[in-house]
Amino acid sequence: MNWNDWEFIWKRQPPPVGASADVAQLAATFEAKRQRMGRALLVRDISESSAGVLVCVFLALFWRRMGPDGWPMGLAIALTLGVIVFFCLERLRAHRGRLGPEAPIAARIARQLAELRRMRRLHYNIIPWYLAPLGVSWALVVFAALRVAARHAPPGYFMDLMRNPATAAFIIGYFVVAVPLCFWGAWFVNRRAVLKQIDPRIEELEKLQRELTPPA
Amino acid sequence: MRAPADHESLFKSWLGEHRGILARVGRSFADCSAEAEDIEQEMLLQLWISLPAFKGQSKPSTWIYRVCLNTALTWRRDDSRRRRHVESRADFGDVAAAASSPAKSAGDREILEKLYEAIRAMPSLDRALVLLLLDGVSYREMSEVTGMTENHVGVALTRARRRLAELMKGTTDELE
Repeated sequence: MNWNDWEFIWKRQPPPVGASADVAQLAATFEAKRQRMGRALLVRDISESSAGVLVCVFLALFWRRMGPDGWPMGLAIALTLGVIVFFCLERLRAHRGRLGPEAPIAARIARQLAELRRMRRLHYNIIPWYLAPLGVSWALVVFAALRVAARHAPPGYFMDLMRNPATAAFIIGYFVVAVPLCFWGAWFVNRRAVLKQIDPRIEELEKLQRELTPPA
Repeated sequence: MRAPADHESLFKSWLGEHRGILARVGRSFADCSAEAEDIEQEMLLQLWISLPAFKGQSKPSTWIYRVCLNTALTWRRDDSRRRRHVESRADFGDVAAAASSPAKSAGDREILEKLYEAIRAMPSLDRALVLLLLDGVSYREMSEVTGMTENHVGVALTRARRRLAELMKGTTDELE
């Protein structure tokens, strides 16, 4: 048997099962699914950015209560907003640059690779654009709170707090364990995403791209 | 921009004419019949979603191949979806038998089944090219679908055909 025989048999394949399906019903189902997917994406984008906005609103209310002495809160809000704006711009750029499935395979793979490499860079360098601003923002909030509290608290109030073993343990635990653990957790999750998800996909796409590229 | 009613009629005419493409691509990229059905559904959905982007600059069949192959290649990369089918892995044999008309000989069915098996054993790009070639797609259209140059399509196809022949070697010897 040779290629022509295979081709002959291939072309005599029977029509697929379900070829006579009700197209109007299919179209209606797909349209509903498409709209659901669009809504889900919108909800995801809004919920991810609104968490940061809510934090900013909370900080603004806190600042209002503190009065002019709480000015470092303004910087904290600005830094948090900066992270949100960066995040939104990134999402927007990714949406705009995406190629649909109707694009040639090579172009789509090149775009997906570029996108994944960018994502990898962002995940890998999460400290300068995400963790550092949020860390500084958190430090500013603590600084502002302490500054205002120091003005209104009776003399020796903080020393008294540290003399109480329970409050001292809570304060030390919060500053030395809980907060660093949160930041380390965020860093770890991102690093893990790179190693477990992004890198294998990049490798697979690069392999496919090599096959699509003519040998030099 | 076409009206939604136009989309529906276009979708309808395409499905009537090219449904076989979806079935063949689905079967070539899936490990079992349940997965093939899922891929087919995903391809149909992607076709529906991408329909407004069709400007008529290429033949509908070329455009459909692009959407289907891109969808199937993305599907192959998404392991979580594939794992769902591991438990329910069923042979394609029953589906092939059910779809065959009595006129088709058992030998043809067997060769077809082996051909699909061989295609599934090939790397993704070779799989796509062999599929296009067996469907009688020209080099120029293949180049439009894949984004490769026509020359490179030729080179890659020679390699893919050789690989398919190797995979089919034992099979066809057995059948003859």
